[in-house]
Amino acid sequence: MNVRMVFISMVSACLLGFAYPKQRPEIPEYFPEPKHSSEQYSDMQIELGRMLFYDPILSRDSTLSCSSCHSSYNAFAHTDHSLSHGIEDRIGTRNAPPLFNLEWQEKLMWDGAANHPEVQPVAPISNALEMDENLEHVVLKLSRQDIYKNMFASAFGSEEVTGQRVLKAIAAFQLSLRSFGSKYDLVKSGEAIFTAQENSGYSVFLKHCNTCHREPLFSTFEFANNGLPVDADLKDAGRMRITLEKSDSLLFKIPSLRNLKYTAPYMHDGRFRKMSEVLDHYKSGIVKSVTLAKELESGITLSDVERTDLMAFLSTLNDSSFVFNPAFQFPKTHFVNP
Amino acid sequence: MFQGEPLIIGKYYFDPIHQDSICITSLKFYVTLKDKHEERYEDKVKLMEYDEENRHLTYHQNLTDVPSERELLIGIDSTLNTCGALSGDLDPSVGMYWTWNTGYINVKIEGRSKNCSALKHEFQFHLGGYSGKYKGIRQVNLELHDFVKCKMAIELGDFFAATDLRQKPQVMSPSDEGNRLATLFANTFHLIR
Ligand code: HEC
Ligand code: HEC
Repeated sequence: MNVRMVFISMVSACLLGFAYPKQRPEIPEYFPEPKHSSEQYSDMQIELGRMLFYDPILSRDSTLSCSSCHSSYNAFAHTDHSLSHGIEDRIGTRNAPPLFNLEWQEKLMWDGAANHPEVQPVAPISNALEMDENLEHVVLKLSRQDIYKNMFASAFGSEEVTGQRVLKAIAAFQLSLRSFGSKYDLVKSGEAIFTAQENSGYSVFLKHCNTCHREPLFSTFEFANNGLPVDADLKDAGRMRITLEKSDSLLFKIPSLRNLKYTAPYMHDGRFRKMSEVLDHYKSGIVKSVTLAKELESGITLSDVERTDLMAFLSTLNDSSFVFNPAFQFPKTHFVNP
Repeated sequence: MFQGEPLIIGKYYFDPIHQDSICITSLKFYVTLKDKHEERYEDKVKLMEYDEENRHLTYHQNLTDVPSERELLIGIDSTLNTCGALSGDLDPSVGMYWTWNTGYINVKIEGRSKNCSALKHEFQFHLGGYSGKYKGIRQVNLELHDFVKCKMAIELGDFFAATDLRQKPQVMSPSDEGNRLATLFANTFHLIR
């Protein structure tokens, strides 16, 4: 019995070796230890997760997949829309964040509602403003499809589809989304050098932004209030919604500054379309409140030169090798007759 | 049980304290009997679902011989709530999982009552939470010493005697009221001969 299982997984591994590029580049030395390593998942589990991620079968009316709101070409964020669009064009209450380097995040979502990457997908699948489905029914739908039976067998050793397996596979794929192929990374590993302008922008960044958007991930992934005025319609209390602690009012998860070129609009409600608006906010738009981060009490005023230098530095954080990596895109080979 | 009578799903019971007629449509909860020192025990957690076919819920466990080391828990602790997707009764697809905020629902009590102020007179209590002030797991305070086999009853009459369905017919998230109801529910467990 054991022998047979090993054999099956070896065959599929060989086939996959030809079909797909390497999905998990090695973590660079200057990165911290991951909180949820993707190494615990097999390549087959990642591949199954990728299929699920791109399959609208996860939504109630089979119109929407995870990728509808998290597009690989936008570093898995949702461009054009400030608030996400769900099935039947229902409008959500927050901006879809990009998905990469999730291995280093303790809690997911803008307010940290998801305590583990394996259970996060329960939220979009069941949210009435997103996919409006339930996991139990997804399991049923998947177990009726031969292609999935085979995929589950190679990924988990038997054809059985369970909620746990669906969630583990999607998590495996999401955690495999590593992005550290930017110019900044080349400089860190000694394969490139910054221009003079990028270098001065780096200093501006270290002085004003690094406490929250800490390198090399460009976020501590903690929660902070960066002084955005509260949207009168959405009245989003952020982290407080989860903890019910006053001290968490208006705190949102600090987003990474990697791949900003691809991830506009910005902030939890997508209120800024351009980076110039973001910098204007830090300069003169900050609203004082009890929970406002201390660093931002008097705003961040930059000279015109500092501002352009900072922008030059931030553009070294864009990773086109990630955004255009075919291993993360729509798995054409699986969806032969859509 | 409801006021000493065996609980029948869909049947109305009179609650003299609130002058209300109450019926239960669904009762589900997680139970664990384990040795106190055990930290990971997902195989011992069982989902109890009370319905017409299952009036007698049974739970088996092989434990050490030291009875004073045992505990009977209602709900899921923070370790099992934060370790990723689990299987079996703890699979998030069995319907005992919150979707807006990750975490298990420890106890679901749903039904209808004449006085209930919510839509269609339906009440829903989803109790849970595993962190901060709002921890929903409860230990049942019974002397679990001298049994190899024991019988227990849950007296829901006690639960509704202390719950005004006119005031708060719905609890769907960890909260002060959720905490109170979790304790109340754990206290409805009695040993019977
Ligand atoms: C209708 C649009 C939509 C769909 C479909 C959707 N998401 Fe999202 N996603 C969002 C929004 C909006 C957020 C932010 C939610 C919040 O913070 O409350 C989000 C957040 C996330 C996060 C957290 C990222 C972070 O940095 O914290 C992950 C992971 C994620 N989604 C994965 C998925 C997966 C997997 C699916 C498919 C099962 C999916 N999403 C489907 C809109 C969507
Ligand atoms: C006190 C911590 C803190 C400091 C300092 C800080 N930020 Fe932020 N930043 C945040 C938080 C929190 C958010 C998310 C706010 C929200 O969406 O509600 C954010 C969001 C952003 C975003 C939006 C990213 C996205 O994907 O939506 C950009 C861009 C940004 N900050 C750039 C900067 C720059 C540049 C600096 C330095 C000049 C800086 N920040 C300084 C905390 C900080």
